[in-house]
Amino acid sequence: MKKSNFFSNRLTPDEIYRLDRQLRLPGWNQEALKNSSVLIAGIGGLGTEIAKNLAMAGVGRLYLVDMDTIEYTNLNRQLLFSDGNTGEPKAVVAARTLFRINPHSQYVPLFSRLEDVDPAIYETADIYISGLDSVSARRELARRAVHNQKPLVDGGTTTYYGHVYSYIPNQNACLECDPLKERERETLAACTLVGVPRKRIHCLLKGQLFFEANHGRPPNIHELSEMEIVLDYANNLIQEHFPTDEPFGLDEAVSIIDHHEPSIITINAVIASLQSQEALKILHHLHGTKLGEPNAEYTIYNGLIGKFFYFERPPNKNCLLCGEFAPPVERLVVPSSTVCGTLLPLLKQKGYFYSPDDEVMFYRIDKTEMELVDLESTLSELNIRHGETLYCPGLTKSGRDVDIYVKILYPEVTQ
Amino acid sequence: MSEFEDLSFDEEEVVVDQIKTKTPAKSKTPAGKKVSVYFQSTIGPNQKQEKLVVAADAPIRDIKYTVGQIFGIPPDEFHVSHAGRTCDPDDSLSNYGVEDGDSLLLIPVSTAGA
Ligand SMILES: [Zn+2]
Repeated sequence: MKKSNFFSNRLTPDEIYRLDRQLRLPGWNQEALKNSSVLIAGIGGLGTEIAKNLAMAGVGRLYLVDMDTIEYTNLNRQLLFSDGNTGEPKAVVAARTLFRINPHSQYVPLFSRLEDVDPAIYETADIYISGLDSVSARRELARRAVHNQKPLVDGGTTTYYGHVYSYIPNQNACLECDPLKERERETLAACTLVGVPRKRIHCLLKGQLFFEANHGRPPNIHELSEMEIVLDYANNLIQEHFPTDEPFGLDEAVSIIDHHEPSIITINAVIASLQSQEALKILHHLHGTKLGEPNAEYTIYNGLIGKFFYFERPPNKNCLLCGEFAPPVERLVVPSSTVCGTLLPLLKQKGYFYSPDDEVMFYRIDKTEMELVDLESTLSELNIRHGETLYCPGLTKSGRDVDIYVKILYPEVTQ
Repeated sequence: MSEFEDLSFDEEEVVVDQIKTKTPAKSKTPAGKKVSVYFQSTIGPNQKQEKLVVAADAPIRDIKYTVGQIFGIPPDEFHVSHAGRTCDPDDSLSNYGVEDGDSLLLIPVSTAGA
C-alpha cells in the first residue's frame, strides 16, 4: 500500500491534526520529514527563520548551533528571541521557543563553535543549512559537507540583496571551488592613515582619530555633538582632498565608526524561506520521495528591484576540497580500544604507503585547536570521537604523493 | 592634538608605497590581449548591462575598480562571476578563459546572515 500521511504510525493523532493542511499537499511525505534531522549553523537573522519554518513543517530533529548570546539589536529581525532574553545563548533560547511553536519535534541546542560540535552530529544530520555571517565559519561547514557527503543549503544577505545556494555532493560546486575570502575592511590601523588620505573613508577615520587625540577616548556614536566634531574634521578633509566626493552624513558616519552589517527582516525572511523550501525538497529526495527538483543553481535575490538571478556553478576540478587532486577521505571502522599506530597498517591495506624513514603523523582537525595524535595511545584514551576526522599528510599511493583524511568510525556506534 | 600629528611623521614612505601600488609592472607590457565582454549587474537599484573592452591580463581587482564606477557600485560590494566561477580579484580574466562576447555578472558579496 502507498505511504499515507493521514494514517502514518510515525505521527501521533495530535500531530496529524496539527499538520492537517500540509498533509494534503500533492507529493508530500510527512514521515520522511519526521524521520529527518537537520543541522542549522548560525541561529541569527537567517537561522531563526529557517528553524521556525522547519519546526512548523514538522522536521523531526533540529540541531541548532550558535556560539553567540542574544543582543538587543537582534530583536528587529530574530523572532525566536524577545526582550527578556538578552545575554542568553541563542541556541538555548531558540530551542525553548521552538518547542512552544511545535512540541512534536526535537530541538538540540549546541551553544558552541562549529569546530567543536560532536563529529557524530555531522554524521547523523541529513543536511546542513547555513545561516552564518562569516567566511571562516562557512569554510568550516563546507569542509564538513564535502567530507560527510551531505547537502549544504547556504544562504547569505547583504543590505537589500541575498543569495541561496545548495551544494549537492558530486553534482555542483562546493563552497571551496572558488575559495571565499574575508571581506577587506578599512580600519583604524595607522598604516592606512598616515599622511595624505588616499581614500574618502580615510577622511572619516582621521576624524575619529582627531576626536580620540583630543578626548582620550573614542567618540560616543549616540552623542550628536561628538559625532559633529568627527564629521566637521572629516568633511574638511574631503573638501581638500576629494572635492568631487559627497561629504559624510551622520548615519553613514555612525555605520562606519560603529561597524555592523546592515540587516532587515524582509530580506532575511525571503532568503531563509527559499533555503527552507529547498531543504524540505532535499529531505524528501533523501528519503526516497521525489518532490519537485532541488535548485542546483546559485540564486540571487535583489530586493531593490524585486528580481531573481540564477546561474549554474559547475565543480572546479582543481578544487582543494572536492576536486580530482583533493585529499581523499578514508573511512576506517575500528573499535575505540585500537592503538592509533595501528591505523598505519590499516591504511597500507588500502594501498597507502610511507617511507620507513619518515614519521607519519595524524592531526585532529575537527576541533578549534588542531592537535597531533600520539600514536602509542588508544583512540579512546585520546577521546577521539566517533566520526572524527584525522589529517594525514605525506603518504604515497600508486606512486603518487597524497595527503589523506581518515575518518574514524566506531563499530559499536555504526551498528 | 599632538598624538594625532605624530601619526603623520613618515609621509614620504607612504608616497613611495602609493606609487608602487598604482603602477603595477604589468601595465608596462605593450599591446596585451583585449576582450570585449558584457558586464551585467544583479545588484543596485536598476538592472544594467554594459559592453566594455578590457585587458585579459589585467588584475580583476583593477577591472572591478573601473566597472564599479561605471555601475555606481563600490568594488568591495560585488564579485565578478564568469560561467559560474567567482573570480579572484588577484587573478586576471584570462585565468578564467574569458572570451569575446562572454557575459560577466556583478554579484553581491552576501556573506552576512546573522
Ligand atoms: Zn569544490
